[in-house]
Amino acid sequence: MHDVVTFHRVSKRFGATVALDEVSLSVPEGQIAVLLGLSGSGKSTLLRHVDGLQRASTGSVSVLGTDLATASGTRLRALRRRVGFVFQQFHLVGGLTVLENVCTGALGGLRGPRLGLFTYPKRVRQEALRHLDRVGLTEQAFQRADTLSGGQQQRVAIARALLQRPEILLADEPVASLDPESAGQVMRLLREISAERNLTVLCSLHQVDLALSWGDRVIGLRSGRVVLDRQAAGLGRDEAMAVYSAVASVPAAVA
Amino acid sequence: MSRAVAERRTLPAPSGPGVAATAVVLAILGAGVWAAADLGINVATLVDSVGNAADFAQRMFPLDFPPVAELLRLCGTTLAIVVSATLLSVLLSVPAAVLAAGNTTPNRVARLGARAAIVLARAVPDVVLAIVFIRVFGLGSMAGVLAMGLHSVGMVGKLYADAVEQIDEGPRTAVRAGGAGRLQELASGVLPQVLPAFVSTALHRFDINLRVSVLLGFVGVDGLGFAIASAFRELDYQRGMALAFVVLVLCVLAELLSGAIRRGLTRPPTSRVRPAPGRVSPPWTASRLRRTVYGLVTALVVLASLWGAELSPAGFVDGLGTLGTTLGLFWPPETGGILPDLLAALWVTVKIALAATLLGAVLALPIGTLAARNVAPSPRVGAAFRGLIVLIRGIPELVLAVVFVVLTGLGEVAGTLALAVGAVGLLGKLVADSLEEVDERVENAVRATGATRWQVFASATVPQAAPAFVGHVLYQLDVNIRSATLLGIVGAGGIGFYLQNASRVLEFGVVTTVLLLVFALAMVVELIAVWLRRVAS
Repeated sequence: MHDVVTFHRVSKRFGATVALDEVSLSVPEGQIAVLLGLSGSGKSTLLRHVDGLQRASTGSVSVLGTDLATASGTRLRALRRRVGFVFQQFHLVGGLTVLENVCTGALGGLRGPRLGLFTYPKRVRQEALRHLDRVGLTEQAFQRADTLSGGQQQRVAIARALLQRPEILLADEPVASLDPESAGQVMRLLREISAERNLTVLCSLHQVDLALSWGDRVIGLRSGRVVLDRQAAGLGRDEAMAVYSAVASVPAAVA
Repeated sequence: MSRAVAERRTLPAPSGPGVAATAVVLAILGAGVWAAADLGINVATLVDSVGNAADFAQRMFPLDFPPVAELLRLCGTTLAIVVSATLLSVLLSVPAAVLAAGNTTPNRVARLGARAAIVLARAVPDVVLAIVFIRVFGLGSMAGVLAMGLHSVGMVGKLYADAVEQIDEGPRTAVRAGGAGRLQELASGVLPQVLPAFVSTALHRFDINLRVSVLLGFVGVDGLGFAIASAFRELDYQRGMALAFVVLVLCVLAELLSGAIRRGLTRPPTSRVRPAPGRVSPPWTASRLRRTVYGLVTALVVLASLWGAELSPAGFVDGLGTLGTTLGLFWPPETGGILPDLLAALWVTVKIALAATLLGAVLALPIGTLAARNVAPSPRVGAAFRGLIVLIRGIPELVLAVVFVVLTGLGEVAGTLALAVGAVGLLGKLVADSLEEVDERVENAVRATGATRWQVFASATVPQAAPAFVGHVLYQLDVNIRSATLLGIVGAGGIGFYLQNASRVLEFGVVTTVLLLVFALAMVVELIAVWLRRVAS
């Protein structure tokens, strides 16, 4: 299986703060890689580098064969179409219907600005409905997005990402705002979708238990450095928890 | 060991900026009192005007309404001009706001440019623009549409930019992460979030423009204002007041209608209907039907207005050709040998604004307080005072000014009283709104200690709203300075008289001088306001 994401000695600085420090890793196609770490450890920054929402200060990022350091705006948008993104706060437009929110996932493949459901081609709307079926929200299609519960909103956001027909799905703390039951549903959904479509998933999480149950691989970050990188199978809970410890006791093991 | 409890300070040490801000507020207050006294606004003046009122009422009644067809034509023309002007301001403000908002602007230069254009649009009074455009495009509608449309960008563009800056960046990031282009990002990530604010601001501006259109009639823009001006010029008070009454009714109706639409926007309905399998369009629920009908009606109104305002593209292009020559008439600024008179008149304008703000605040604070839902002794009292505020807001300041000119004679007392009463409409509303916006949990906490209604009001409600009050009063002063300038046009004192006079005798250089003086004055007030807001926060 070939690698779809490759980081080579990537560092990212915001002023004096080092958000990523010499990060090197590669993710093969179809893998679910979970990023663990404290707030501010660089998980979100790392994910945003995969999508080109942020660019590395030094080092190189290559995603689906595109070198992000040199990619033009057009190339970058073309790449973003192939990479879905799911956020902790869902990032839906509350005043729009659920279906229209899903449809915005198709914008990368459409020309020109869109406002209003009827401005999207019928085939887009049909496909959007299919994805809503997939996440179990057909009946809510024409409700306002802000009338849904957190777990439902996150499933809408996943449907929106699916409409891009992504090859990679990035999920930044997708369950951090959800109750445990909704969190389990969303993680199961991500796992199933990954299996159905051979979709590569990079997902940051807070909870070690979720990481061990749903991930193929666990990558631990502390202060922008990779301090753990192992297959989830066989990884002990205590070993994973050590990522959160204040003392840098875990050697950077390479899987 | 710390000092004994008894020796500790129980009041905070005064802070430097706090003292300075208090001093400025007290200075403005003192200036207001002095200005009112200096203008001769006292009980005797008011008693005198009661006598005049009876006299005036005699000359005003019976009201003489024009024939229905003529009346409808006048209303139609005014509404068409106001709708077209508001539409123009919206069309100009959307791109201006996108360029001016920190989060959507392409670069610093574009941002500064757009901000400057918005400030400039606000700084040039619509009456001055109307005087220029009438010179260019002739009497009629075009000048009014352009004057109000451009001037409105100063407010609409500013509020639109603020709305864009306040959006949740999340949806926008999500849309960008999906590979959307810049325009798509704006349309799908930004616009849906700001649309209610955009519509609400446009409606608000429509209300304002409707009132302003009366004033523009006095310099030659078609419609009700023009008819009112003609009637007053012929001392036909029966006709003039009848038309003013029509304007009042239109303004109150517009205020009520736009208020209802704006409230509707904040809680749009949602469809909980189960969609039919495979259906890709929202079902036709009652709410969707209603929204569609509203949309169609709006489109029809706009089309009818564009047609009714008789905007001729050819006339516009012709006018543009002579724009350069016309603007040349306004430059360089000239004093016409009456600079001392101009300065004296400007000083009177300042006094009118100060006195009117003080009197307005004295009236508006209790009225606004009683109109606030959470303070009013009973819901009925609250509703009654809200109604009073809406009614006053509906009266164009110019109509008030004309009434007071008749009651108290030509001069600054009329202008002051007109602005003071008018201030109740704006300031009263702002006071009521900021009282209603306080955190009621704090009120409940104080109430839970067994405090009386007055104690809750004094120690929980007022402290939360007080910083806003100061800002509102300064805003009212700013508004009053602009308005005080213009009321001179109908003889209510101050520099407006010279503005009108100079444009009538074609001394356009003097118009420019007056404009520059007013502009400088407004800037000084703006700077004081900005500084006070920074100190207060």
